[in-house]
Amino acid sequence: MAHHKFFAYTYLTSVAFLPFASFSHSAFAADVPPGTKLAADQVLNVGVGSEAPSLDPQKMQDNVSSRIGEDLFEGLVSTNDAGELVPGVAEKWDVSGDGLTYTFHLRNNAKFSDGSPITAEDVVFSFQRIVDPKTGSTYSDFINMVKNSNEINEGKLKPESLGIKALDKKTIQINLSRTTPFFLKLVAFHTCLIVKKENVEKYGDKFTHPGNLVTSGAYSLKYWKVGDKITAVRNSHYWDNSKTVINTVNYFPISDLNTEYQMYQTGQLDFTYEFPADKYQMLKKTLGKEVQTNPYLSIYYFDFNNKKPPFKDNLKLRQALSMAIDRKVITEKITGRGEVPSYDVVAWGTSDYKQNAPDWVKWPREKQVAEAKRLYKEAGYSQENPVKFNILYNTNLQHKKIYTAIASMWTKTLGAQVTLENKEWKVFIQDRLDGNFQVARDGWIADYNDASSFTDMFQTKYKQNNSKYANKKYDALIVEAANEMNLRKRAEILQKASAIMMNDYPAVPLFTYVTTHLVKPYVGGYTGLNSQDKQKSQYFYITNRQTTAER
Amino acid sequence: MVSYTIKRFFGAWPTLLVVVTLSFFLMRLAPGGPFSGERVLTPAVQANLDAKYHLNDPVIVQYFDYLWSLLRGDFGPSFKYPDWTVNQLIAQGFPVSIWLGGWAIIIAVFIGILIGSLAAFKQNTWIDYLATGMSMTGISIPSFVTAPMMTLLFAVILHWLPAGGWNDGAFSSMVLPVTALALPQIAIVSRIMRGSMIEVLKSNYIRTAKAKGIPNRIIIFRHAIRPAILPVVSYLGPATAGIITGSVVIEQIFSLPGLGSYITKGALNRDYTLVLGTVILFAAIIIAFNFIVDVLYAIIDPKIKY
Repeated sequence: MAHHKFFAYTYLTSVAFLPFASFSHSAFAADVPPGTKLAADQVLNVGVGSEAPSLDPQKMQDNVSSRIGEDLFEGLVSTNDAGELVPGVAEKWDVSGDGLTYTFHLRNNAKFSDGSPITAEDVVFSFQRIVDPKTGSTYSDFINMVKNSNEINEGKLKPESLGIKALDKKTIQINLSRTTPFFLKLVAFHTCLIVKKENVEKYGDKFTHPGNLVTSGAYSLKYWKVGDKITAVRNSHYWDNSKTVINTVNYFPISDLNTEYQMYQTGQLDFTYEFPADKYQMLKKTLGKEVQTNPYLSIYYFDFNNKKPPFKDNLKLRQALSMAIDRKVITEKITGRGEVPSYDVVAWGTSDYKQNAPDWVKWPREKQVAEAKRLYKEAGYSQENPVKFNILYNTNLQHKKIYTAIASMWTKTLGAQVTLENKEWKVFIQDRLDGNFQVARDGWIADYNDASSFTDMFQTKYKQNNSKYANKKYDALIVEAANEMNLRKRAEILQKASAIMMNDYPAVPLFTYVTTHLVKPYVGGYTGLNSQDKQKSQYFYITNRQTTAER
Repeated sequence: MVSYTIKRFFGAWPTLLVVVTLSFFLMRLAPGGPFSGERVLTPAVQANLDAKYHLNDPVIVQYFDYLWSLLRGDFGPSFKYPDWTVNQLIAQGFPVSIWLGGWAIIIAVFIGILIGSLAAFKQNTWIDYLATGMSMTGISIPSFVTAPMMTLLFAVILHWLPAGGWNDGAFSSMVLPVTALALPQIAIVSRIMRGSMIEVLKSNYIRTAKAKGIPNRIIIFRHAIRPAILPVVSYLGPATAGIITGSVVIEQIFSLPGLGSYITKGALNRDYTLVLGTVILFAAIIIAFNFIVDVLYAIIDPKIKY
């Protein structure tokens, strides 16, 4: 676990106080150690798990699209291989004292893949496009702190009235309607990647097709056949092109984990999206360091329905059930790839944030069970009068294993009568949203590395408050944090809020996910430090395969 | 014959309309929509998406709009893959499915007929037992077992062939998936062929031919094969349609960009238009192949006239 800690500290120092910083220099792109013999053929073959639904930044909503999208496009701000914010298309920016006005200065040499300069007009267009109802973006509320964003979404104002304007050809000003200390992290997100206005207007919905697409990132699109592969080649007009090493990237949408593993074995892939979970121990023995598992900014938890019996107004029951779960058994025996047992809905490794854990976590297991039993009794239940409820989850083998184990722990320790109910994905989503459940599986992958990405979800009126949690004190702290510009102080407030919420047990976190990849020894540049699992090809390089083999 | 063709052509439309109507309304009955996911949309965002894709119109209006666009050959935009229209997705996947399925069925027919006939001529000899045994094995082992085993042997261990991927339909990339698709079909075709050939060989006119002293070779090729092949032909119609439209497992295992997965993934994603487009295409293929079989029947079997 040592590298986990290292991971957390790097984060703490790197992202704090960012809004006030203006970068003059930072480490970019592939960092090839001196003396490394690079292969003549710099081609990277990566598995991406499934077909990218869209290469249109403003329409992307999944990590496959963003994996490829971030190679093709760049935002005003970007993230490096360690997940730290670095300048992107903008070389520097200023933030006003009240934190409401951001001024971005574009690089002079920022160019699109067709050689034309990236202008402030393109940036303004890209942002307007997010909120324009005509775009049809599921992320159109993503920048709802930008002035007039909500009104445009609701059709009350035109997209042109968005709080963003070009001051001159290379300067853009964004006005916010409320302070958002992590705003730059949002700007670095794939929704805010920069597209070329003329290109989008010329081709409409077809602008992302090969032959049409003009890109702003380190790569340009050469080939895209749905279900087959996407090929990107180096964009020679990219401002940092001289530091790019990989010439060609092939992204393969292989949804069958076994096929992906076999293609890795035959050398058709250099980097996999995942590997079969049940092969983890075997792979670790045979492949050693090629097996990479690293913490992922993503939390696995379940919701109690706090509006329905038996969980409504029954804190002791919720607490007893949470205590009765041995999370170590789940992370070691079921998931077993280094997942971090968690007692906080904010994932392990979130920047500036230290996960909360209740006191009972340190107790020996027997004491936890005894206390759980006591609470269960006080909640009004016993072996003779057991609590009866069902667990709803979407059909998936891993979920089934996890909830079978949890149900068995509850039955064994408390005598609870639990039934498991699995439903097809969309049916499940609808039921959970409508509150048609007693206990429901839940999980969240952070869109941006900030605790609020997780804590937002438990606000009383938040659309995604699946557990229907309601606590005014909690809501007030979330608002307080939103107004705190110091990222550390802000994280402390969120930590306090989360502690209050976790004390109410509206939901039960189980673990922080890990990313799982197989990486060939000749692939350089993968650090595993990017907790959002962003792998930008411009940071990668291929070493001489022969030399690695000899080693 | 011509009038029969015309009759069949026009007879196919009501069938297609029923298929479209049923699929359209069944899809809408399924809970959840194309844009629901772990991330909950705000009412404004949801409304904008619904408006863009006309999902806010009454379902019946949507239905007639859809029929109208179908008449113009437009399957509509995909919800899950907003960068593509359903027409574009099908245009990319269909040739792959045809290419794969086509080769598999051609190979299955040739090898299946050969093995089946051979087993019939040498009935109750070791050749027959071997052929029957092999075809039973072929029918019983599903392709999701044979395919990974072949990949393990020929790709991972021997390094002769790639483990997956399309690679522009290169020969080496096609060998394993086509074989995996063809194997069970070879088994079925050879069984059907063996059975019907045995029956034909026992018939009176073959006995007469033998009595007249006609050489075996001529009996087989001129008199026996044609009637014996009829059951195979009637099987081939649905089989070809099935193989082209239903190679979901093989496409998944070999990571191939065919149409197979569109219908299942489309249904899971509530990608209404993609599912409908694929269903219509599949229905048309099935209707077309059944028609082709009927025509072939008329050509092969002198007893049938339309």
